[in-house]
Amino acid sequence: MQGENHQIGPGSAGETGARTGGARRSRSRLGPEGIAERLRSVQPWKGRVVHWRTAAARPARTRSWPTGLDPRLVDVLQRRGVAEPYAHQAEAIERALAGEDVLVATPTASGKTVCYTAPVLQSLLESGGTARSLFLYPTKALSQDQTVGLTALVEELVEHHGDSSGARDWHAFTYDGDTPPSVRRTLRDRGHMVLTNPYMLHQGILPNHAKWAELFRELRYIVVDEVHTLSGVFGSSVANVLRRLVRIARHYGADPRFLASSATVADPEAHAVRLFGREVSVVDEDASPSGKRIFGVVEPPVVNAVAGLRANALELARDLAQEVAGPGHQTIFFCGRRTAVEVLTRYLKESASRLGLKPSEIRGYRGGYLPDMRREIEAGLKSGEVKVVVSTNALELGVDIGALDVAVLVGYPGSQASFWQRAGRVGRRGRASLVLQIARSEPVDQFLVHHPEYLFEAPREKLGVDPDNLVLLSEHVKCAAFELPFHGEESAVGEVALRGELEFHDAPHVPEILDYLAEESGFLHRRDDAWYWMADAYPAQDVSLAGGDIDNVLILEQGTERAIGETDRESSITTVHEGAIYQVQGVTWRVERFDYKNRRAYVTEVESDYYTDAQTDTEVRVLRLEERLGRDLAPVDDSSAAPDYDAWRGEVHVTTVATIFKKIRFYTRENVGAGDIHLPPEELDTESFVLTLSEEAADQLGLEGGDRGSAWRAVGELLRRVAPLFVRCQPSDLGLSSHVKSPHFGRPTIFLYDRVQGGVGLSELLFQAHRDLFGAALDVVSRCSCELGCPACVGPVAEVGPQGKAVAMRLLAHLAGGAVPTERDPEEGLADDDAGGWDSNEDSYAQAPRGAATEGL
Amino acid sequence: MGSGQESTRGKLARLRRDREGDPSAQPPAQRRGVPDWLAGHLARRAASRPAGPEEESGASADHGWVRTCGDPAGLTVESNLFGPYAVRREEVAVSGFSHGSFTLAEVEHAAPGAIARLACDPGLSSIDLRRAVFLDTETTGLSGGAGVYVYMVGLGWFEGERYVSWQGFLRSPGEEAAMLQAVAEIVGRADHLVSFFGKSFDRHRLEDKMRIVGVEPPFDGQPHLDLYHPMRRLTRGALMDGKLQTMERELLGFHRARDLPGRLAPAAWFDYLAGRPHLLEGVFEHNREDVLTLTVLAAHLGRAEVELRADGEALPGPVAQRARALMETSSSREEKLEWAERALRRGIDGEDRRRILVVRAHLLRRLGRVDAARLAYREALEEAVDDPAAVELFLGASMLLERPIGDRGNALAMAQRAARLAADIGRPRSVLAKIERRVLRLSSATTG
Ligand SMILES: [Zn+2]
Repeated sequence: MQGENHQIGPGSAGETGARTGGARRSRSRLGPEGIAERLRSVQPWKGRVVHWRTAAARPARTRSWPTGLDPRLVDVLQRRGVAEPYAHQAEAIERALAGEDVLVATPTASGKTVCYTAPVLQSLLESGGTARSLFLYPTKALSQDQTVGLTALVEELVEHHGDSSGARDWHAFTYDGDTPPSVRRTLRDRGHMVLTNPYMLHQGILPNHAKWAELFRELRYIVVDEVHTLSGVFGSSVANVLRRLVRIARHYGADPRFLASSATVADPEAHAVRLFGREVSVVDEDASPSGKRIFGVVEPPVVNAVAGLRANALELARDLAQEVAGPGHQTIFFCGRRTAVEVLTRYLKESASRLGLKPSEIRGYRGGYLPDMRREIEAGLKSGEVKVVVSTNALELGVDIGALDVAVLVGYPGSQASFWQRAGRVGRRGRASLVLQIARSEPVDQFLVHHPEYLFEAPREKLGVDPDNLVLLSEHVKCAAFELPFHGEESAVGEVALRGELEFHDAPHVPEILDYLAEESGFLHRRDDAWYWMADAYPAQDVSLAGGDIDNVLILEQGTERAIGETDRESSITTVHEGAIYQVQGVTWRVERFDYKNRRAYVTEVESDYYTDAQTDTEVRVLRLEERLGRDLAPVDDSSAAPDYDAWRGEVHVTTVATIFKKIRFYTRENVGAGDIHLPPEELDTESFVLTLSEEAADQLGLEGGDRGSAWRAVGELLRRVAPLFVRCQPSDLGLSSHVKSPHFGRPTIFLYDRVQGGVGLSELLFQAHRDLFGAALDVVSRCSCELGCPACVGPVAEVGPQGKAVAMRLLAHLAGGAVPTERDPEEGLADDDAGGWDSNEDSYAQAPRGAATEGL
Repeated sequence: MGSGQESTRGKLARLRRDREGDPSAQPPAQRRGVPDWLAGHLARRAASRPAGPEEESGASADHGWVRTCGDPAGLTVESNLFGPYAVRREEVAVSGFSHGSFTLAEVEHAAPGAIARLACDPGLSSIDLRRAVFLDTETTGLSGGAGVYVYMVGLGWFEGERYVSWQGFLRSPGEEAAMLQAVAEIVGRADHLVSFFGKSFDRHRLEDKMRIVGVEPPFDGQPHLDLYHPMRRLTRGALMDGKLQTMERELLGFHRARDLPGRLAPAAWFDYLAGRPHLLEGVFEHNREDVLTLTVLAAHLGRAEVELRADGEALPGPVAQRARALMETSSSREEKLEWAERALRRGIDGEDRRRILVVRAHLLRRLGRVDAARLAYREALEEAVDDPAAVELFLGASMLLERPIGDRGNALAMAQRAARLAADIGRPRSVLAKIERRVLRLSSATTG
């Protein structure tokens, strides 16, 4: 169980003895501390581990069990060895028992599970077994794990308090795609605790709520685990699924509370409020104990000083394994991608004997493995038989594998929450642990090389969630209308508002969306101020929580119509245009026909020695500017102050046209041809963060001449790349468009826009954090050891020009330094004849970010 | 929320029109509130829907029905604590009312034992069709889920010398609770519920909707005769499919003058609600006839055991398949054998025949009729030697040879054939092991 804090990790030292001979014997002694000591003192590692940090062991802070908690429950928990809970557990349980919605935001293995199992079981005891609870987990594996844990707890209640508790009849069930239909009925009627995931809730449970009437009528708690995974489109969709859930529960007369857990994130309360649509009580002071923790940041050596190229991080991980893997302890390697997991696992198995290990003691672990194999590896990790595991983020969430000793993160995982989840996999009670992070040639990784403190301070990155994104909202309003009719009422001034709705009441445009669905789409029927579902369709089936696949393009083999793959709408114009080479696992297909209207691309398999690279033109039109922060240049003489830079937030319309594609030979990368692309433009209405620089400032900073555009663009690109330090996103979630003279603003402008139709709140977070972005970007460029630019900073000199790095650095130094900008009127000082106002940029990097070749590694 | 002055006025006007029940007046075409780009997105989404009901309309697709406007004819409005609801109610005198070649009065002679037997449900052994309610529903879709409306519930029951046809109908979705409450009351009063495929479909649709609107479902604990299963058992292999319309034609001799296919039912109601000309008259007729067919089909089922109608005429329907059904549901070996013989005599064919040949041989062996059994195995093996069923035959023959006949050598030979064939056709390991044990035992006994 995730967070089972009082279980002592399995002993693992040396039980497999001397089977692999001398290497095994000689390596079995070093624990995490010994390994760290060796890395500190022995070359080449001494030079490569550029930063060390040690966190001293910390004792637990405990409290007595909340007085309101049933003594039988206390007894069972105490029998498990939990004499007293940690202070944060007691606090969370107390608040839950007081009827509050609670979010526990503490690290992995801090014992979050009991914070919601205790109130849930208490509700069963108090209600005489009628109360119901619904648990939502981000993955199937987690919900299955937790079902086992809950069942065990119920069994212990039965064993010790069977007669008085009534616990004999309580059942915890997993409800997911694997649940056989024959069991589903029992589960619906007798499942006191139903453990599922957002997808099943969205497509299975909510649209069929009548079958779950027993659950909804008595629904006390909605447990949502790992809410830090709920951001972006997925999080915004889940927020709407939760609106639908509570709406249905209220229909059946229930008033459930939320009990949620999260990794440590910035401003967990704001996140929970957006997600749950209500005030939530946050408990975030971790009182669990930890052993001594040693952290090291490893920087791959520079292999080409002029280009600033560094050694490959994966190869470095293989070399590092010689030091950190062995028979006497357990080591976990985290990689970004599945292929990297396979490659590293193979490397390590091949060198198993040098590590003093048998190949069978080294395992890979990732999504896509069969459940049985995953269970076997998890058990091997828990028992100590598996000594080394190489994993994707599949082991990042709370699947129970016990505590390990050494973690190696091959590249920054993209978010602080992920970093700590991964780091949280190591550290046995009372023993030291070691976490090593290998930096890649990526701006964010390089930033962390120089600023490891970023990881250890209070979390900085914010989670973007926007349940009111109109696209997502309209889809979920449609699903909700299928589930229960909506009712409206007319105010005195004739405005139509929802009646009897709490969850969707304050969401924007809902009556209008309902009217649209009734009058234009024909899905609903409006009668007497109510909207009823009125179509022979099952809307949840067509609504994806991850977004995108609504308009996905299906890639089919010409002739057989066999599905080869899928691509999202926005990417389709650059990846499956006619003539494009589409690659799947090393096989190349040529796109013969792209039926744009019907979202289908027809391909034939070809032996291609080239791939295709499409070029796009992006136009950004400003629709509305909502907020602005600006400052003036320091006056040189007594002339009036000239403007400096402005940061804005607003709505934009983005048009992307694919223009031509180049054929590029594999390996040599020579250009072997080109073709035109004739496809309609992709249109996107979204929100954007905008940065403008006054002409005066541009002149002062030397943003002129041949490198003018490329240096400015490099600044934009760098901002996009460092954004994940402060905003929970991937660089690819952001579109970039830069202009040295934007028609709208008449000056150098950078747009960083949310690539989701309607936006999911990223631009607002960027706007708030823009000073931090400047600082981080400056840091990356100024500390980069390359001479004239490299992939880890502004890009190779061939792209940015010989002056690019210097100009970009000067620009960023100027932006990051000086006075903090102040609030200004968004419209002030702009030419008001915005006729057309199309910003046609010189270049766009929305589609093919530089460094794509090395991303994830 | 960005609704301007004009849109407010438009909205008011539309609300007023709706309240006055003038659905033909169209709302203003202009969009209120929804941003253009969102409207564009929603329009794209709507366009990607599968072909809707409207596309199918047109006179040729109306199956002889004339579209009407407004409320269907003959509705009376009743009400209960949930509000008003509409019903079309018709009564006929039981005596003399024909449905195809049957009369309603024949339900009087339906044997409960036959119904319970063929439905394989002892709970129906005292079923009295005169105290049952017959049910069929029309819904807005087969996909299931909370958004499906059961907009018409057809019920039929006997009241003394009269037969009542009751069709609850939703004039608007808002009348759902009241109509379902009326249905729950009528169904709850009856001793039994009779449907066609209703255990799998209608019951669940109704139960779900009742739960949603807060009406207590009447179904739990009420014996339910779902005619689909026994009627399928009686006709499988003889009729082209298991549809109600096929059965009424082939078994009851009932031919519908102009039937509106059930798949047009959702569109008919959508058209009605939207104020368009609709085919609801056709749906009412279709539903009423379905319920009548259920009633008479139940009477038919109640005579299947004796195979005669009340007046002594032969019961229509495929006789060989009927014998097979009665064989399958027999309670004693003698009776089972009797029906097996009849099925064979009546010319059952194909796989059914081979299966019955196996059953007959086994029965004869178990009944100790050695010679007849020997003959039966021989006959069966001649027909089915390369059929998977032959494994059973070889084994049965082996048993017959071993025990009553005492010919261990041939018993072994038969067992070995069973083993070879079972291995060839890939029977499960457990079966192979069982046969293997038999072979081993017989071979050790013969050699020893
Ligand atoms: Zn560099």
